[in-house]
Amino acid sequence: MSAFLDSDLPHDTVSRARTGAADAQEAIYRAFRQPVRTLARRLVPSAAQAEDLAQDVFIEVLQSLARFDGRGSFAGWVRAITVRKCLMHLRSPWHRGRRWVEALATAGVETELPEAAVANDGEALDLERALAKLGDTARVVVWLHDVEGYTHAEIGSLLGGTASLSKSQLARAHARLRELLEPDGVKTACMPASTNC
Amino acid sequence: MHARIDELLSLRDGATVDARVRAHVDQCGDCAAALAGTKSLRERLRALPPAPALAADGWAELQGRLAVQAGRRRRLAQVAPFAAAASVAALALFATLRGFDAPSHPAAGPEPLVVLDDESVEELRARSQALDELLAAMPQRPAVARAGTSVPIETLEAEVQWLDHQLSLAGAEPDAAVPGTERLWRDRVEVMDSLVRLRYVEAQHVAL
Repeated sequence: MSAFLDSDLPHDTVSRARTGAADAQEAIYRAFRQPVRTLARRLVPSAAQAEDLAQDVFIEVLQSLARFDGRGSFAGWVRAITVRKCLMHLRSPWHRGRRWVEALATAGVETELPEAAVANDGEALDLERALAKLGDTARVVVWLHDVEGYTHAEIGSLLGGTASLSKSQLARAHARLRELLEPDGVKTACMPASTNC
Repeated sequence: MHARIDELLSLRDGATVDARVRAHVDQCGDCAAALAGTKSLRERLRALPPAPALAADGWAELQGRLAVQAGRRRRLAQVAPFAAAASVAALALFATLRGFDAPSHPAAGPEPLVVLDDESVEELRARSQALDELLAAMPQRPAVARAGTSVPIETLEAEVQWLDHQLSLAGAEPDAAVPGTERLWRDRVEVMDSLVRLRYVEAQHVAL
């Protein structure tokens, strides 16, 4: 499940950080550093860009504390900022141009070292590689829905579309992941809409 | 007919699914296996390891960036009125030297900006929208721009983008209930005004 769920802070830390208390700001950074980095890393294919974005998220979080009204969870607020930052990055012409150039230059070559390689977990490594091969939208949708627990309506809204967009992207992501993870085991059954049993 | 993957995902998530699809999945081994596969994939995604720890702590770097950002915003607040005044002066100078008649186009020679302290969020938002429209009505930027105007224009555009992002974060809340929203709109009006003026000066360079 979302790593953000285990990362909330006592309310007074946020209040103190809002008044500029450096120790409270640092506590926020340390509490959310890992969930923010992990989420950015899952949504953005480039590790270096994800790290930069994670730092940008904290700049924004610490500069915008006055806007957190305490009605929802602070962790949810930080997560929303992280998701928005990553989506803004993925929508940027710079990123799209870079993806296009990389696709040309590195066709079939793995350029990033997934986290599971560090953990020496073969199955997770396969999944991370497969995840990295998804299109940006499909990857964002499958992660936000299946891991972070966003609803299709929420994801559709974030993507500037509807719940249907999110549903179709989730189906596409699952089909593609299954193809990538079980290249020999994927049956045509259950994938097409109109095959006979 | 087998269940489609979107139907299997709906079943997995407890969403509404046609009863016939549900009955089919209960009876069909392939579909039941595919449904189990979607559940298994979700569990595997959730079990992926977190991003590995970095050697660098990051907090010191973040503090440095926060200080730089604070300085940048302070400088921008100080410089924006002068940039606007300089743009107007440059415009007046060009008009005088070239015997230039200010065209009736709305992008030409906007009135000097006065942002009153007691303007409401609604008034500031309307002003901001008017400046957006003014900017949209201006000609495309030249392919080869002068560094003297291009760099400040890009800086101001980045600032507008940042403010828009801040406003989008506050957007779900009623304006009056969100502290700082008025300040953001005020900043946006000021930055947009400077941007429009600089774009106007740049457009005049191209035209001359």
